[in-house]
Amino acid sequence: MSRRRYTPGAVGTGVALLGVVLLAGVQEANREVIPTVATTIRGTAGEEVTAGGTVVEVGEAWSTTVVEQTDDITDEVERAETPVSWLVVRVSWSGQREPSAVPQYAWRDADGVEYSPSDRYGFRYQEAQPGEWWHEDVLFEVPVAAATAGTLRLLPEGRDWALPMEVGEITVPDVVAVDEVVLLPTEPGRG
Amino acid sequence: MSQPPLAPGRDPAAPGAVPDLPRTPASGSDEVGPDLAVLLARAARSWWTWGVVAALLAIVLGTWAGGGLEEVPEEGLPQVPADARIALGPYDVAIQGWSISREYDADMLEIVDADAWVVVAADLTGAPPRSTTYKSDSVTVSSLETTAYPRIVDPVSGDYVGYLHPGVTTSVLILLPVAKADAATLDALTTLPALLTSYTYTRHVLSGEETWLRPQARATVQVPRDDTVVPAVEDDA
Repeated sequence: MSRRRYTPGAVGTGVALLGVVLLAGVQEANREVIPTVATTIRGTAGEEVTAGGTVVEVGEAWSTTVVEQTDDITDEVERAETPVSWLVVRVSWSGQREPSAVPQYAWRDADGVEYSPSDRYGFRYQEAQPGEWWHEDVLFEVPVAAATAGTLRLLPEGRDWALPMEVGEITVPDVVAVDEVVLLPTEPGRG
Repeated sequence: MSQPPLAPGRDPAAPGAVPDLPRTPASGSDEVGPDLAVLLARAARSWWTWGVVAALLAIVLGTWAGGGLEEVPEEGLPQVPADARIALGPYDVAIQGWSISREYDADMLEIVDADAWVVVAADLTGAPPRSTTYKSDSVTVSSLETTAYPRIVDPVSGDYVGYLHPGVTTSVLILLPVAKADAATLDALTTLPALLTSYTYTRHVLSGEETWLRPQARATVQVPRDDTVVPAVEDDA
């Protein structure tokens, strides 16, 4: 009757496999759990709301049919009209513990319909240092009824965002109707 | 009964004995390889076999019951007037006219390896529940293969149109890039046979994301030719 013997190669392979299993177990036990369900932090215009590492404050909001903006590169002044309504929301932000900005904005009207910013809104993703403030005008094109009141949503970049998923919702109860708005560029300071 | 004597060197216990080698069946023997009948009988007794067969049957029958993979014949689709507003799900579309151009945005034509644009002028009105981007097969031309995905641009500025917003009508030019042979054929047409595709807002079965899915041919449109839909191209020289 023959007897099986373990060769050095077999022993080495077994030890290596065992090591991989142990390392995978250690890695899994120490893995940081990143929540995939978003937490919603709510506030109202005029209040500071901290979501996703950014402190955000909505100042004023206007509805109009004419906006005027200056091209960053050519310095040309452009006027844009709409048969519906431009909604301009002035937003200030600051980093909470590290340089930060809001990756995405959305406007939700009273009926729950959600609007992305207009293509005319020049998104810059300007990060602000902790304690330093920047501000800009976020521009939406919406039906007239959606530009009277609503909620500005502060959305994270994606589901695997490094920070815990936090969505900010800032209620804007009053939107002021005006004839025309001159859009501010993204600038340092509180708007 | 006594054992017959072994041939010299065949006693396994004897010093210097040669061990038996595995037997190789003679060519043409029934013993070559595993018996196919045995394998089939074993497979027929396995629940894996019947499970896979049942799953395949379910997929085939489910596909058949759901309408199959056959393309929906355009003959069965409603034909709508060109300027009618048709709900396609993420937005409504009203087509104004079409033309063909080899001069408009010529640089991009070269990039997408096309000879000409089929230019379709349309009004797109976004639908709830949220802003959306243009679906590339919303407006296509029957039996036409484009060289790349269509682009939608603002008719005045020529800028790319990103989002379409609920309740907001956006005038656009839908640019379909076509190869030289197709461009020549299309250029002779006075009406363009367009096919409209709609989508349903639903939850994705795998990701759980709620979005516009399930494209379905919705209607056909005979779009009248209107060469004024193509913006004038300024000569840089």
